[in-house]
Amino acid sequence: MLAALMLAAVLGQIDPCVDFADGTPFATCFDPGNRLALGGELGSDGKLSLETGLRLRRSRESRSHAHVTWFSEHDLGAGELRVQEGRWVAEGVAYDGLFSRHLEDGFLLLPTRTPLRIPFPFDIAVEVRLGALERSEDGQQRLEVGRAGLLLDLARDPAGLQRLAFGPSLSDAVERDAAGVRRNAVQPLTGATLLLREESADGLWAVRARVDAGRELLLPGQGRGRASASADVERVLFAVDDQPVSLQLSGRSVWRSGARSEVRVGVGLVAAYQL
Amino acid sequence: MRTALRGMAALCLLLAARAVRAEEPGLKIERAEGPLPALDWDRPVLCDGQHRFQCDEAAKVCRVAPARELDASGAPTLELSRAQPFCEQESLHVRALAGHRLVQAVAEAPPGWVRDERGRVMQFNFDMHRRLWLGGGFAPDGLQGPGWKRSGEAEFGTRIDFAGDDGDTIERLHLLEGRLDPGIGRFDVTSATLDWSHVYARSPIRLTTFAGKPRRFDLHLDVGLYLLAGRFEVFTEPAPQTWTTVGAVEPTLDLWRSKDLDSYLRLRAGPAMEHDSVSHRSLFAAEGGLDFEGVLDADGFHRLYLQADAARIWGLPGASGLGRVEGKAGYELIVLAVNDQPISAVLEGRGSWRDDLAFVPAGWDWGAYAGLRFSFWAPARRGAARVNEAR
Repeated sequence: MLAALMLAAVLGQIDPCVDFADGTPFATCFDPGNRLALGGELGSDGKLSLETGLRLRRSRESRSHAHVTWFSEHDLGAGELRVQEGRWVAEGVAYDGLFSRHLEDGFLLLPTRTPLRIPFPFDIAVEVRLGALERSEDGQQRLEVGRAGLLLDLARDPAGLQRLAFGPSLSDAVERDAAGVRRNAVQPLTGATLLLREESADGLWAVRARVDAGRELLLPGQGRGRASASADVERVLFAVDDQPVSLQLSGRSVWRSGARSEVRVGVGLVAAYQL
Repeated sequence: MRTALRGMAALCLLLAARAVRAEEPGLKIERAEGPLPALDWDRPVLCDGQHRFQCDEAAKVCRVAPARELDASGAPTLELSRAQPFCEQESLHVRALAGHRLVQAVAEAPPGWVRDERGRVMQFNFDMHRRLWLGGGFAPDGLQGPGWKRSGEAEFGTRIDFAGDDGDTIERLHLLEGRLDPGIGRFDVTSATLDWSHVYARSPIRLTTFAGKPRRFDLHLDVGLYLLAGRFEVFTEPAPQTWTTVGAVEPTLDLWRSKDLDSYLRLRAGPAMEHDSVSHRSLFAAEGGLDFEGVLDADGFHRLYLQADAARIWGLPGASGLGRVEGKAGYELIVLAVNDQPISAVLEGRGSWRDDLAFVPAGWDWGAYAGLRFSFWAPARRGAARVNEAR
C-alpha cells in the first residue's frame, strides 16, 4: 500500500494530468484534438441529430531548423446525421487538414544586398478541405469538392492550443437545388477563411469557430455572395474509464445573397475516445 | 618521461585556461573591418560552450562566433539554428594562450542560408522547382470583342523535380497545376505531368557510313519523355464547353540544357487522346510544343519560362481540324520571403489561336497576367553556394 502511494506521489509529480484516488490513477486532462467522437444533439428546431468524427493533431520539431515546429491537424469524416422533412439526411466534411509552420522568430526577408530582416507576427498555415456536404432548408444540396486556403495565424501558439488564422481561399462546389438543377460555384481566391480555436491546457474547455465568406461565380449563372459560420463550445463534464464526455453548444449559419439565411443552434453530449 | 612531461604541460595549459576563464574579459576577440566572416560549413567546428570557432594553424588566427543567437543588446538567447550538429570540445582560452589571434565571426550556415550579425539564420537561395504555390493577380484578356476585358485570376500548382544522385537524370513532376479565371470564364487544371530528361554518357544513336572508308558519326540527341494525364479546360463563355486531355505521350528532344538540368530548351511531340463535351466525342490528336525554362541566377530569384503548344485534332465536326496553337512566356522574381517561404511576382504574356471551341469563332486571343505567388517548401537549390560572411 505504501509502495502504491509512493508510486502515486511520484507519478503525480511527473504528470500533472494524472490524479489519484486510493492510489489508483485517473486522467484529469484530455486532448480535444486527438479523438474519435460520437455525440447527440438537440437542435433549435426540436430535432435530434447524431454526430461523429475522427480528429488527429500532430506536432513535430523540425529536424533541420531549431526554432521551427510543424503542426498538422486532420479532421476525418466529421459529420452529422439528422432528420429533415421526414427522412434521415447526412452532412459533413470528408477531410479537413491544416498544416502550419511555427517559427519562434517570424520574419520577412527583403532580398537586398544586405538582406533586411523585418519581424513578422504571423505563422503560415495551409488548409485543405475536401468533400464538404451541406443541405439547406430549401432543399438545396451543396458538395464543396475542394477548398484550399492560405492562412496567417496571429495566435502563434507554440503548443498549438490557440489559433486565430485568416486568409484568402479558393474553392469549387457543386450545387443541386430542389428542382434538380446543377450548378458549379467557384471562388477563385475571392473567398476568405477565418479559423478560431481556444483550448484550455487541461483540455476541459474547447472553443472552435470557423467563418468562410466570399463572392462566388455560379456556372451557369451570375456571381453571388456567400458566407457560412460555425462555432462549438465544449466542456468536459465527466469521464468514463478516462474517456471524456462533454457538453457541447454549437451554432451554424449560412447566408447567401438572394436567399433566406439559415441559423441552427443546438446543445448536446459528445463522448470521445482519446487517441 | 616524455609522457609525464606532456601530461604536466597539458595540466599547466588547463590550469592557465581556467585562470583566464575566470577573468573572461581577458579573452580579446577583435572585430575586423567589413562584414563579419562566417565559419566554414565544410570544416570541423570547435566549441567551448560559449563560442564556436575554427582556427587557421598557419596564420595563427581563430574565427570565433557566439554559440547562441544574440538579442538586440548582444545577449545570448536562442540556440543556433541550422548549425553543424557536432562540434569538438576545445578551450578557446588555450588557443589564445597559444598565441592565436581571435577574430569575431558568425556561426556556419548550410549552403543556401546566411546568418546576420546576431547569428539568426535566413534562407537566401530557393529552388522554385520544388514547391507548392498559390497565387492570384490581374489577368486582362482580349478575346471578347474590341478592347481588353479586365479579369482576376487565381493560380495554383505543385512542382517537384527529382534529380538523380549522379546528376545526369532529372524527373520533373507537376501536380494539380492550373488557373481559374471567372472573368473570362476559363478554368484550366492539369492533374499531372511528368517529364524525364537524361544526360547520356554515350550517344543513343550512331550512324555509320560506308562510302569509301567506313566512318562513324555519333548523334548526340538528348531525348527524353513527357507524359500528361487529365487536363481539363473549362470554358463558360458564351456557352459551356469542356476539353479534356485524357492523356498524352510525347518524346522530347533537349536542344539545350544547363549543367544542373534546371534550365532547358526542348521540343516535344506525340499522340494524345482528347474529349470534347459539346460533340461528346473522344478524339485523337497530335500534339507538340517548345518549352524553355531558365533560372537566371545562382540563388534562384529570377526565372524565365516559355511554353508553346500546338495540337491537331482529327474528327471534330464543324472544325477545320487545325486545332489550336497556344503560347505563354513569363518572368518570375522573388520579391521577399516570409518565414523562409518565398513570395514572387509573376509577369506573363499569353496568346492562342484555336478553332476547337464550338461557341467561339476561330481566331486569336491575347492575354496577360500580373500577380503574386506564395510558395511553400522551396528548399535551397541543389548545389547552392556557401556564404562566408554575415549579411
